Amino acid sequence: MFGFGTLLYVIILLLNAVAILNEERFLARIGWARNSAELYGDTESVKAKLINLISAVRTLMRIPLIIVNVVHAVKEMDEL
Amino acid sequence: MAHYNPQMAGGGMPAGQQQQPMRGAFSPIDPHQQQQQQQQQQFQHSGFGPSPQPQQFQSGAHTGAPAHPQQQQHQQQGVANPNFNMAYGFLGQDFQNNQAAQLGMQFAGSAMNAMQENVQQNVGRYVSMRQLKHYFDVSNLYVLAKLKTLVFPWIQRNWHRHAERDATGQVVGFKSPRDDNNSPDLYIPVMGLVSYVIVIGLIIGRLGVFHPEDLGYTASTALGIIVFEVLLIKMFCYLLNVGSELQFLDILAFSGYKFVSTIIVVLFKPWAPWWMTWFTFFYFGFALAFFMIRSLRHALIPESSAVTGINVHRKRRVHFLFVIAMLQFFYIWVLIRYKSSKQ
Repeated sequence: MFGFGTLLYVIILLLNAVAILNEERFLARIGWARNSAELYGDTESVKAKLINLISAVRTLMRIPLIIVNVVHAVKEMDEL
Repeated sequence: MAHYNPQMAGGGMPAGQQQQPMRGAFSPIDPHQQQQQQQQQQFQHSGFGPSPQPQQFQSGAHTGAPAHPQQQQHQQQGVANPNFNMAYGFLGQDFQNNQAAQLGMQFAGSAMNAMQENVQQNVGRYVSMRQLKHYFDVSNLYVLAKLKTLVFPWIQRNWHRHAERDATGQVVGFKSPRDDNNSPDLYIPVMGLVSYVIVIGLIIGRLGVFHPEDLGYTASTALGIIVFEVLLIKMFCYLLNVGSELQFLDILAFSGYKFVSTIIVVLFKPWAPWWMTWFTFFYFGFALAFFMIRSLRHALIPESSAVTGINVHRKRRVHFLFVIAMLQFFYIWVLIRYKSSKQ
């Protein structure tokens, strides 16, 4: 149940979840916006790092995730 | 002896005309091409000649036949030459005489060499081989001391890792496991992983429900747990500004030490009463947690006099260390599951 394949599946799922967070409709509303004033002084707090991490995932991983999801969907369809 | 009849032209083409086999890790050393050709022809002819001695071998198994002519050849030659073909002599005389098969052997040897170089170049770009070798530089005493520390962690008094200094006294890293009993290594984790898979295979074999793919599932679970833990620790390190104090290979090493504990616990599970299994589970869980906390403490929580900026995070780091240690229970619990015989 806790195999390597399951782990990859879960990681893809979580990355998808992070990648589809919308900047202005959601993150700004809860104060986790990328460019808010509170970030300028403090790049080391946990919150700042989390915001950086989320925005990095959204910027960098969107296109690879499209490819990975397509591959995964094709694989799942093939197994039906 | 009348055993060898060089004028016997029968039996296949003389396979002596072959190009020089390519050197590398996968081809045996072949210094004498001439003697090799001679030996091949003799070898061949001794197989096909109607002389009395080989006949009894011909009717018998092929694997027995090459042994006798080889001895006689050595007697004749007077020196044992590792011959390119004699290295594969166990495969039988028909294999030897077939030129296509010999070409295939050479091709396979050179292909293996090329692959090895390719792998070394490509892997060398991602993983520093020198750093890896540092983690495998262990001695027997180190392994025994480490195993003792894993099983009885309260005995160890000093958990400080010794720093390696170069000629001018600058600190350039940590001492290798050979010199420092507290330094993490990768030998025990690798051995532990393989032993864990084998032990699970053994146990379900004894229970009678073994299938070969279960070994794969077990290895996959073990790898999944390791990857999950390393990713979790890496993410925590990023969030809490733990930089170069905790290297990736160190995390891998500390993560792999749990296999020692799980092997011991999983050996209790089928053959001990349930309370004894739970007792060993909790004992080794706490031992492993203690080991992790003491080992990682110096890396994660420096003495407060050194750095001032991290005081904000100090409490968080302590919590983080505690979470890592308590998660070991969860990992061991996952790893001691196997198929029961009731299925």
